Amino acid sequence: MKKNLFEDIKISKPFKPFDAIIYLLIIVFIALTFFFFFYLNKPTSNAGFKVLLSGKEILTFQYDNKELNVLETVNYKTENSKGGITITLYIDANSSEYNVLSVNYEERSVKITDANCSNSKDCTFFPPISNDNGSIICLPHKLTVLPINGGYVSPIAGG
Amino acid sequence: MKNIYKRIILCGILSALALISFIIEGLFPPLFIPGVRLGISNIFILLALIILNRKYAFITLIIKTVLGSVFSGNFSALMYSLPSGILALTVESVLIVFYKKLSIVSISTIGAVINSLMQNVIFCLATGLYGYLAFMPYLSIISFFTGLFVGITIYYIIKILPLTVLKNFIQS
Repeated sequence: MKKNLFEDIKISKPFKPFDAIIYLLIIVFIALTFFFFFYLNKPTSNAGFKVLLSGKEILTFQYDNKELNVLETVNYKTENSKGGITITLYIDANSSEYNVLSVNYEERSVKITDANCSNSKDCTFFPPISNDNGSIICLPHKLTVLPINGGYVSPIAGG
Repeated sequence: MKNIYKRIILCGILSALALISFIIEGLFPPLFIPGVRLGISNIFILLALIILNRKYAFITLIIKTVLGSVFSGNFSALMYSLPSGILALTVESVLIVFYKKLSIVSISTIGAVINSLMQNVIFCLATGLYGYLAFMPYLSIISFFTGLFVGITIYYIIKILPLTVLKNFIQS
């Protein structure tokens, strides 16, 4: 089979008639997922956000009164930045592991802008949370940022 | 040298190439959504599937995923990239039996889509954040195009490779 497969790829074109079935399946699947996740979604309130460390809530922030509540004894520092504040959270006792959250008051959004979790810093590439359906996660640090009123899409219950 | 030794050597070379490309593309920022990569390492895994056989393709995949996670320092990625990679390669190795009806481009595309969707599902199950399932439409679109790119690259690599190259690796 191997020699025939190799020869077949060499002599044939990159697209064959039956490929249309595969591509059609993928397109139908994409259309279904768009319908399921966006048509069935509802608008949101975006009152604020909360931060969980290993599943335990350690911080909440409300956009309306700019109120920051740190619910447990964690090391952190805040700095005023343009249009909002920057919160540096130290997630361990030695204050060696950190995540930096940037809060924007005007856009009512929060984003992780820096961390020393890994080389790739995947958490910094998550889009900012600006409604009740976003979330940001830093797996190596077990840190999650969620909207204060939710953090998951529930199309059946309507949000 | 016996053909089996040549096959092992080629498997090692393809594994090293897959590993290097996996690490290098991990250094670039992700494409639009966190965790999405171009998938260049899949070129070498599929080449192992075409030139060698299923066993060597799976070995190449496992080496690339495990060592790639070790070298990039992101062990948590192993949890969702290894099962999804194995599932995608299983589907590709089944579909490649129908090589007379399906082109390698479509096989690579569907493998890429299955890979990224499975990673998304496992990520949501592991973290409990089912909101990330909302990325599924965008992931499907991006992986459709990355799969097309990988498939077309493999097609042209095989077009260029002479048939005498394969003689060394056919099972005797």
